Amino acid sequence: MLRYLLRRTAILLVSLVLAAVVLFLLLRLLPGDPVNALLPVGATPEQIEAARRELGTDVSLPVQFLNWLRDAFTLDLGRSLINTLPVGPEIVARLPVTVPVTLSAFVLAILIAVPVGALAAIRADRWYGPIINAVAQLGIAVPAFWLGLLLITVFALRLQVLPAGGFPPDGWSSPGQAIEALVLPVITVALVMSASLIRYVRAATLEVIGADFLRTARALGESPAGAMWRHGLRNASVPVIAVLAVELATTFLGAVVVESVFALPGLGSLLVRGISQHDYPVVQGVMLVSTATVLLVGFLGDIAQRLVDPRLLQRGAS
Amino acid sequence: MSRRPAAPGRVVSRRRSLHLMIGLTLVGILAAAVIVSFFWLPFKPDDTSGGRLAPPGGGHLLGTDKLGRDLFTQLLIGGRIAFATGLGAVAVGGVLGVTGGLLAGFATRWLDDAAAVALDILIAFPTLLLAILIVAGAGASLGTAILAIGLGMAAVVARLTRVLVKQVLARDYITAARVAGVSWPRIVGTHVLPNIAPVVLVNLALQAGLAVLAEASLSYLGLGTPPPNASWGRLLFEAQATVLTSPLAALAPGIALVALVIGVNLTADGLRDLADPTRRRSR
Repeated sequence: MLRYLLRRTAILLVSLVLAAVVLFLLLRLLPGDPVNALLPVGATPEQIEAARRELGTDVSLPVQFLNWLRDAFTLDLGRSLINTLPVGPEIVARLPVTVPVTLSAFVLAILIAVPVGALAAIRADRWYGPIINAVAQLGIAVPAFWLGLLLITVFALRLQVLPAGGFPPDGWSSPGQAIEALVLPVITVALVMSASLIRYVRAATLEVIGADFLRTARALGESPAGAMWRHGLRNASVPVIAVLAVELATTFLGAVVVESVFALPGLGSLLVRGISQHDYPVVQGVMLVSTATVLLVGFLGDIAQRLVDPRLLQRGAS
Repeated sequence: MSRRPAAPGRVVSRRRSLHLMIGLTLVGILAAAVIVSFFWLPFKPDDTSGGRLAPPGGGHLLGTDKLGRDLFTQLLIGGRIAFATGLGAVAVGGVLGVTGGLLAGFATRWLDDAAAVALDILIAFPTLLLAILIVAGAGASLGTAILAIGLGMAAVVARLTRVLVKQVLARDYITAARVAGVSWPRIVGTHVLPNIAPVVLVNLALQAGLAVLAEASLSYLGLGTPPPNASWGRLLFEAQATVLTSPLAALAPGIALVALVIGVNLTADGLRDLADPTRRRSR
């Protein structure tokens, strides 16, 4: 385990650095000089030079990268080109929207998908088996933003039980309003995510139901439910954990788009705004934070998978 | 592999061939509508004679948008974009991904490890974020969107191809071919590609559905082409403000989108079973 932990940690660190390089290069290679955003039309060469110095783009690319990385490690992500506010605090200010949406949608999706998916596998012969399949099949084809739009139409515009969008200006200081504002976004993301999750849970459960060890447990006198609980659950959870790590990243991404539907001031809308205004430091900062999160979640998922199933360590599966 | 004689008593699951049939029907109907749209459209895309936000009627099957343009016409044009995205992104992702995966699969251990890590990192960039970044820099256009989505897809395809190639290369018949003096390019052509093709093609079909969804999300965020040549995602964005007065405008593009993606997914499911009937029903 220690060997694996070291190897996986090394991969994580290399990944983080490489991701930072990719992110840095991608935004530098894009056409358009970031100083243009700062300067009026017809700026003098001296003004351009001064603006470059201010942005730190007057030195060579590798030096720029090292400077940026050093600053990023001290959580200094530069300043917005548009409103010159520091990017780091701006990102932090938006976490209270994105993190609750992502995490509650993630938990809700698991609460929906695990029982429903397992049920679809264990009771495949009942009438609801095919219905669950069909609904899941439908669900993975529905884009999150359309589902959000439909939910807004029904619950906010027709029934008028929940707000159509926005977030209270004083945030979580008015918890009632904040929670109300997040109900529909969370449901939207959770439903979309649980559709694909149901399929994985169902497949993993089917795999286990056919396994020899379960038959053996039954032969030794365990009840069907007991055998499933004691032996099936842990085995079925291994592939699901692997998928969960990916799904958490997808949930986060879903939140990015859904934030736009519900006009929520989260990371997603910050990213979209940054892009439409060519605000590179903002885009870079948000992307860095989200990529690092995704990589870290993948790392934790791999570790968790091996804690649940130590056999994976021996197979040399990397 | 695929020409293996049928085992006695083997029955190709009826449910699966039903999937294939429904899938092909959905994709076929939409494809036919798109093909027709190149020869005939109910109205000119920029014809605003219908009156603003008109309800269905008077030749406007779905009514008109806020500028008076026919919605059904826009729906058909959106279909072109959806198909172009699916096919284009699969072409980009398939060619780049399979080539990359082949190279990584053949590479020496050290290089292959590096490729595996690099692919993991690329995959850690969610396709949509990557696409948003590229589209943001290069300007919103259909070509950029297809390229960006295709690039994201290439990483996934390359990872799959790499694993499959390594599995095939470990087989005895590869060693036999090598001993018999067959060159590597020929081995790739006669043994590796035919053996990995079924799985890769099914995966590409699934990816096509995801590509269509990704493009719709991009358009919804305002990173696609604007009306009157808008994708379904953009149509939905436009419809959001007037959803109470013209609900059809917010329903039709979504239904078309879902029908296409389900059609593609079901087709892929059915094809997977045709390619490998022994496979147990699982993912």
